[in-house]
Amino acid sequence: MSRPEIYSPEGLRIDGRRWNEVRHIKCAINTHPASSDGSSIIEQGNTKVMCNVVGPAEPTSSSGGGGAKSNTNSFANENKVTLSVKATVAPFSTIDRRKRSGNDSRIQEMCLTIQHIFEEAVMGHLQPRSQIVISLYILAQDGGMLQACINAASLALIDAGIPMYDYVCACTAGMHDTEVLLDLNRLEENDMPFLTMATLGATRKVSLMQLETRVGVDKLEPMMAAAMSGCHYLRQIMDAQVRKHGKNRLARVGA
Amino acid sequence: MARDLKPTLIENTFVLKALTENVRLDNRSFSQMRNLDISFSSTEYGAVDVHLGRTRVIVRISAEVTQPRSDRPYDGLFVISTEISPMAAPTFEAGRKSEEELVISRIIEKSIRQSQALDTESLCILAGEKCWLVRADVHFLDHDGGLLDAGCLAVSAALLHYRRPEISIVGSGDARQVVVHPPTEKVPVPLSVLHVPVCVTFSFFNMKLAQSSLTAATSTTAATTPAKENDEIDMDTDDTDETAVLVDASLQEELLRHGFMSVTSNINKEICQIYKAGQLAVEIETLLSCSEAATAVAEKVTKLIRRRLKEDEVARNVGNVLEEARAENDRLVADEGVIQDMNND
Amino acid sequence: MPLSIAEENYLSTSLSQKPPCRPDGRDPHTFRPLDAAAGILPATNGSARIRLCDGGECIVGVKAEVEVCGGKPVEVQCDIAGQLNNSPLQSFLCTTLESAVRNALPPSHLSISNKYTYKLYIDGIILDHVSHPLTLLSMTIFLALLNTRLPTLITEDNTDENDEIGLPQFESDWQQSRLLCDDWLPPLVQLAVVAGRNVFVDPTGEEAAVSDGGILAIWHQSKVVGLRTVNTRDSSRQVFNVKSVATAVDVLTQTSREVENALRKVVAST
Repeated sequence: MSRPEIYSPEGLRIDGRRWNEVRHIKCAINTHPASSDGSSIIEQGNTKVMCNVVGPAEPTSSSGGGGAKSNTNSFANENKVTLSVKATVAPFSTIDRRKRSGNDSRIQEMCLTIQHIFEEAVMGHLQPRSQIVISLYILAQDGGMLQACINAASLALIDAGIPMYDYVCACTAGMHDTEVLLDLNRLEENDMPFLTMATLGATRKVSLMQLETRVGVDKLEPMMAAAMSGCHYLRQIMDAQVRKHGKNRLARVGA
Repeated sequence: MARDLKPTLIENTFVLKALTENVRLDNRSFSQMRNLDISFSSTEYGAVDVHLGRTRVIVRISAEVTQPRSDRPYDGLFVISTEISPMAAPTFEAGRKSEEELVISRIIEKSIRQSQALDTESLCILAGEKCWLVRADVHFLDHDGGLLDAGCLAVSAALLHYRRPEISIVGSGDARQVVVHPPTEKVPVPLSVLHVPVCVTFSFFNMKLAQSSLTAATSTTAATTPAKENDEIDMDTDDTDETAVLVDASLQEELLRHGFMSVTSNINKEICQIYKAGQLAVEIETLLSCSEAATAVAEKVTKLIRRRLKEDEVARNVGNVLEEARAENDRLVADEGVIQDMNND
Repeated sequence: MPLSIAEENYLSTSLSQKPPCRPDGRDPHTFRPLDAAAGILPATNGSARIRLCDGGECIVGVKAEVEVCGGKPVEVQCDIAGQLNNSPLQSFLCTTLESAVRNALPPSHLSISNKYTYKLYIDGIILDHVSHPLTLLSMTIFLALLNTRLPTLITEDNTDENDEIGLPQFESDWQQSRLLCDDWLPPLVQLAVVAGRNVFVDPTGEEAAVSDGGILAIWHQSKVVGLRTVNTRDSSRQVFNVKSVATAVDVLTQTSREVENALRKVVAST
C-alpha cells in the first residue's frame, strides 16, 4: 500500500484542506445543565472532547483525587480560587483500543498544564477559598488532544459564568519540510514536528507553547505565527457560538 | 510546590524591587547563567557530577542485557529515573510525586528520550531476543533552582561519558548466546549519542504586577503613599516591555516568578522541546527570542561538556602509549578561550 | 447529601405504604425521562450515550479487535468519575454486565476464521451518577451493542492449509459492514428496589438509600435469565419478603420489555 501523501504539490493536505485551514469545528455550550455548572462539547475534526465545570464551590477533599493529584495540600487558598483539573481518556478514543491507567504521567502533565493556564485566565482573586473542578472527557482522538481540551475547558468555564480575562484558545501548527500546516490531524501529527499554542483571546500574549519534536530553530517563527493566527480564528468561532447560545436563551426567556 | 518553601513577604518585595532596578541578588545580569561545573568520576564510566551554582546533580548510567519489548523488537530500552528525594530539599517527599517532580521528569523525558538523543536501535543485540537496557539515574543532591536544567545537562553529559561493556555473540541458531566482556578483557564501547540536548529555563516576571504589589506593600508599611507616585508607575510601565526574562533562576527567583518556559535545544540549532505551560502569558516575540537565546546557551554548554570529556579522557589515558600516539591528540587544546569564557560567566 | 432521620422516616413510610407514594409522583414501574442517542462516535464500532434527568450520564464505546482465538470474547470495563479504579461498585458493574453479555452472545457472531476472532471491548464512562448506575450502564451498553457494526471479511474462509496468509482482510467500505445484533438482542440488566411489599424500578438515589435492598434481573430473549440481590444501602440489613421478590420479577419483566422496545426505536431512528 502506498503511503498517503501528507501535502500534495497542488497544496492539498491528506483530508483536502489547504495549509491555513482548520478542521471543521463544532462546539456547543451548556450541554449538561443537570450535572454541572458549566459544560461544553467541542469537535475539532474527528477529535471530540467534553468538559464539565463544577464550581466555584466549597473545596472538598474528595474532589482533589482522580487525574492530577495537585491541590492536595492547598485546599483553601485564602487569596484566590483553587482549580483542579481531571481528564479521562476513553479507551475507545483511539483507533486501536487502549486502556490508560489513571496515573499516566502524560495525562497528569496535561491536567497540570491546563490548571496553570486557567489559573492565570480566570479572575481567581474574586473567588477566594473556593474551588472549581474541571473534568475533561476525551471521547475521540484524531490529533490535537491538548488544544481541544483547552478550548473545551475555556467554553465550559464561560458557560459556568466564571469571570475570565478572555477566552483561552489553542491551536496546533506543524512544519512539513518548509511548509507550515495549521491544525494537524493524527496522521499529520505523527509525520512532522508541530507545536501547540494557546493565546489569551485575540492578543499576542501566549499562555501555552509546547513542542515535543525536534525542529530547526529557524522554523519556529513561521510555525508560531501560523498557530497564533489559528488561535485568533478559533476565538472568533467560539465567541460566535457563545453569543448565539446567549441570544437563543434570551429569546426563550423573553417569549 | 511545597508550602514551607514560600519566601517571606520581605524577601518577596526585596527581590522584585531589585528586579525592577535590573539587579539580581547574586549580581548576575538577566541573561547570565550561574557558574557551571561538570566533573566526571575518575574510576567509572557514566558517572557525572554537575554543579550549577549551588544546585548539585549526580547522574549515573548503567546498562544490562535484557529482552526488548515485543512491539519494538529492534529497539533497545532506555529509562531515565528522576525521583527527587528529600535530600535535594526538605519539601520533597520520598515516594510521593510532587507537581514539580512530575514536570521535571516529563521534560527530561521529552528532551532526551523523545528527541532520540540516544540511538535506541544501536542497543539491539539480537532482534526480539536480547537488547541493552540503559538506565540513567538522576540524583538531585542540592536544590537552589534549575533542577531541570542541571538534570538534563547531566544526563546528556553522562550518556556521552558512558562506555558499555563490549559483547560478542557465540554459537548460531537457537543456541546463540550473548557474552558480556568485562572491561579488563575488551575495551568498553561508547553509546551512540545522536545529539546533545541542553535545557535552558527562562523565568518570566510581570514587572507591572511586581510594581503594583510593591506599591501595595509600601503603602501598608508607610501609611501614606502619594497618589502621584502610583500614577507615574502606571504610565511608566504601560508599554510592551513589561516582562522581565531571567535565565537560570535561583531557587528564590523560581519561587517568586510568574511563569517560565523551558527550551531544550542542541548545538545544531535544533529545538528538541519547548514547555511553556500556562501561568503568565508572554508576548510571542519574547518567546521567540528566548528560543533563539536557548540555542546559543546550548552551544556554549555543549562545548563545555565536550571540553570536560576530553580533559577526562586525557587524564584517564596518562601513561597509555597507544592513546598518546594518536593523531587526534594535537587538536585537543585548540579552543582554550571557550573554557575561559564559561568559567568567567 | 445524607438524609436526615426525619426525611428518611418519611420517605421510607411513604414508599412502603399501600398504595406507595414516590417523592416524584411516579408509578412504581415508571422510568424517569431520559435522553438517549446511539452512534455518537464514528471512530468506534458502536457507541451510545444516555442521560438521565438527574444529571446521571453514561457513554459507552464498543471496539471490536481482531485477536487470536482462545481468549475472553467480551470485556466490559467502566470508569466512574470521581471514583478510584477497582472500587467495589466498579468491579460489581463490570463483572455483572460482562457475564450477562457473554452468556447472551452467540459465539458464532464473533468468529472470523479458525485462527482469528473478534474480541469485543465494551468501555463505559459514567460521567456522573446520583442513582445506582447499573441500569444506566446496562441500557447504554444495550444501545451501543445494537448499533455495533463489524466489517465484512473479504479473505476466503480459510481452511487450515493457508494458515500462513496471516491476518484476515476486511472490506474497507463501511456501508458493507454487518450488524453485530442481526438476529439476537443484547441482555438488559435492570435494578429495582424493594420497600416493604412494594417494588420500584429506576430508583432515585434517595429511594435506594431508604429501601430494604435491591434486586437485579438479567433480561434476555424475553425472559428473566438471572436474578440477584444488591445491597443498595450502607447498612447490611437486607431482608425481603418472598412475595416481593416475585413482584420484582413481574415488574422487571414488564419494564424490561418496554425499555427494550424503546431503545430499539432509538437505534432504528438513527
